[in-house]
Amino acid sequence: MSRFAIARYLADGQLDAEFGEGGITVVDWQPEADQTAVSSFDIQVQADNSVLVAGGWGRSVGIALVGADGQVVNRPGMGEVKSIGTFMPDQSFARVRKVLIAQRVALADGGFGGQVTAATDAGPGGAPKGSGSSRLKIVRARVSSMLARMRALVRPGHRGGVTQSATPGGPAVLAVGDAGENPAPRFAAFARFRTDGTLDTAFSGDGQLMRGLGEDDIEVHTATYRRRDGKGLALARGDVNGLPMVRGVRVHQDGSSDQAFGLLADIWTSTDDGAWTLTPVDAASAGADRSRAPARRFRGSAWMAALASSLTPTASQRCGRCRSMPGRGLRSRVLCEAPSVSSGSCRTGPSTPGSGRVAR
Amino acid sequence: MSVPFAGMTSAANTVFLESVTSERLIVAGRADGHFALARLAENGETDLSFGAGGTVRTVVGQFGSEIEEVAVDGERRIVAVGRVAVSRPID
Repeated sequence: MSRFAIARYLADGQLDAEFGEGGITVVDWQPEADQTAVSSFDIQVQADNSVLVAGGWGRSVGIALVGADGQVVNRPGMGEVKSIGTFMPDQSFARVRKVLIAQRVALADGGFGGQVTAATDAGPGGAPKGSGSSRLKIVRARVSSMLARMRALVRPGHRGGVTQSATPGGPAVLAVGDAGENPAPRFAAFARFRTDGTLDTAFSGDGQLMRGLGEDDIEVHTATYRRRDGKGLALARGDVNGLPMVRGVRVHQDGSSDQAFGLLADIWTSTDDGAWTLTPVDAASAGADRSRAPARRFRGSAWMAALASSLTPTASQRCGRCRSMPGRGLRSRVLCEAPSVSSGSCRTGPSTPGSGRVAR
Repeated sequence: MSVPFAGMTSAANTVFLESVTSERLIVAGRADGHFALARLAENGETDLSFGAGGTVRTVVGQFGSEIEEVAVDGERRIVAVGRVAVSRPID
């Protein structure tokens, strides 16, 4: 059985008794016949403090809306609001590696999976920014969408990013993984689902997209989503000629490739001394992300931890000499190049983003 | 810096910056097979005002449950989602 639990805690760490049963809500997704464990989650708090939850396991993508009281939201005549989509059903092999709630979904007229107004101005983890009303946030989202559409008109080739957020039908969950044949060839695979579990045809025509990563046996291990402009980024890692390699592909909200990123770009490379070097294109992306999104989430294995440490510096990571932080450096284009912050010395000054080294 | 999750075995799955103004970090994962959270103060030290000595462990389901993602809502409550281990039926 694939099962999620959502727990809500008060700011002091105590379980919130007003949520679910003693602070916990459990959502069952599949009958007991499905024993596959959920492998990926995403969560997004809505303006009314309801929680949109997505999970991926095997070929399945589950979506649910849990109210602020911890109960799975019921829609009159429709039952509980939860759904399951199938990832790459036409491929002999497919595996969801990451599910990402694509936009902040603000509920309009109580709808879910129906008429949904989407915005991409999410605050921390999708949490609402400020304390404005839901209606105000919806209006703000619509204004933002209009402005972005206008930008698209005056800037040929500009895809608008935010402009495409107000998508009819409320596509909400981007699933990223690998698909193809087992063991090879495999490709980076994207599928975007509406909240009712159906594929979103506004994404790549049929809701699905596959892209080669240059190596037949490379596996997609994670993905991230640039909430500011709505682009999806799939990252893959594998061994190429005995060397660890990370490759990525980035797509626009409509599923088209983002040529500015560069298909098959090697965005991280392991160096002889064991450090990971970020290439400029990725460092620039990371800096852009941080400039708008005040809260970051990172997870995964060692090399993802390296990224996390570069973007979420703590006070102890602050350089003792210039007082800059590696992550801040990316944003300000002044990069602390200290090989080890703990050494207490570094060189500062204008630097190309990405020239810094992140200790593993 | 180390995060003292309670329990014999523990792992962190996600790190979340609580807000841009406070820069407190929420670390979430598992401890002894159950949901676990810790909060770090801005200086990187464990925030003792959070839970018991800065950490929280919540028994959800059976051994093998863990938090995978975390968010903070508009009232600064921490919302955590993760997998719940369930026993397989015996044939």
